Amino acid sequence: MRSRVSFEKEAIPHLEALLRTAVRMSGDRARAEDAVQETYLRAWRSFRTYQPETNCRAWLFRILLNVLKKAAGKKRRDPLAEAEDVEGSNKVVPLFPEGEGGNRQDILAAVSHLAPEFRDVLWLVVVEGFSYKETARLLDIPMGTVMSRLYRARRELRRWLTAPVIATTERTPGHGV
Amino acid sequence: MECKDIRKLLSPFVDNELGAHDAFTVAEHLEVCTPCQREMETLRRFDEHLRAAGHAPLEGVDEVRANILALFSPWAWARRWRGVGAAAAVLLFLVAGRQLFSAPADPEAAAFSEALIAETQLNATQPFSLAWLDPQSVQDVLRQEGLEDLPNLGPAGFHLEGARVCYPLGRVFVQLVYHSRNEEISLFVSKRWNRPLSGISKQEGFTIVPLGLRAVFLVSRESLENLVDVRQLAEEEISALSA
Repeated sequence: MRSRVSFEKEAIPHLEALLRTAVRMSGDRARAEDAVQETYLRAWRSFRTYQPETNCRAWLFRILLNVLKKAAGKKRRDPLAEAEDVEGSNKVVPLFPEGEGGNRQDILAAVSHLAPEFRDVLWLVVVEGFSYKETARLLDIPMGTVMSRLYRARRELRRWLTAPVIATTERTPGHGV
Repeated sequence: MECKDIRKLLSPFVDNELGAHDAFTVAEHLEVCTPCQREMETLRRFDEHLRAAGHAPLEGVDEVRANILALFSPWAWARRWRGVGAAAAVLLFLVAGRQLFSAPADPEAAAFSEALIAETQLNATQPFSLAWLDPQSVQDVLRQEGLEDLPNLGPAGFHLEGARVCYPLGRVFVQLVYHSRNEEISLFVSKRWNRPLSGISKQEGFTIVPLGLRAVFLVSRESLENLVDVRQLAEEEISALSA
């Protein structure tokens, strides 16, 4: 049986990566914290079956993405949550910044405006450094889909960040690539 | 390959995800094509900025970490004081006397006692099965169960460690876990529980004390020196706070 100490040692160091990913994917800090906590609860419950030589980080991300997916399903059925999102979407007016590719908020705002399937792939590969193969496993999609979504995500982001003004409610077209 | 074909490969190229043959083709093309080279540099620069933005320090990570680690706290506590059990059990025997052996003859009460003990043992065996409530939720749930506020056992040296909702024998209870320096007790509160246990009972090293119709007072396997005082205080608190 694996112990609590080894769980803390192996799983807790990934907390910050999980939290920043949850914040970006849920778009809400409180929901992100709930999702990360739920991730650790689930991870602990199945930690006895966890193999030490396997990738703990990928395992935790896989759980987190499932938790977020489930929460997103609930949120879609919650009209109040939708109303919050509409309100929130008008707050961001990212402009292409002067100089070196923009400040952090502009870039993150632009990422938030991507359709979730593009945003998730871009985030996992570029920010979290997962390989295409790992990303495909995490999201349960073929590797070819990872490549095409990444290509389109980068193209859309570049289009937004180089445009003089970005429409606040515009989203990436083309779901289900 | 033409530029439009090469540009489709630039994304996996900057991610080092192209096969050797394609990577070589792209690299060869970039050597002689300035626009594609510029395109690749833009992609790389953008990735660097996105990575830097994504990895910017988050506020409040320490608090989140502490909250998650706190889920372990009952376990940590139980391990710390496991050794105290034997000596403390003798004290409980002296305090509670013969009542400890008056196990409930009522089968339902016995089953209920076992269910409460099982809930308490979860603290030690499955720390992550405890979904601790946040302070606001504790207040809300307590009000639903007919208590206006948290019973204050501070005068007896016990302070609230956490609260959770549990389901002994399919009934909804709020479990309030209190700690003193070396003891743990739980108050199980529910307005749905409408019959008291028959009296103080002792099972598997636990002592269970009924507190009227609204709550059952459960003493952990470590016995309690001031059981009588704590029981009286808890009864007074619950009576005063009952809506």
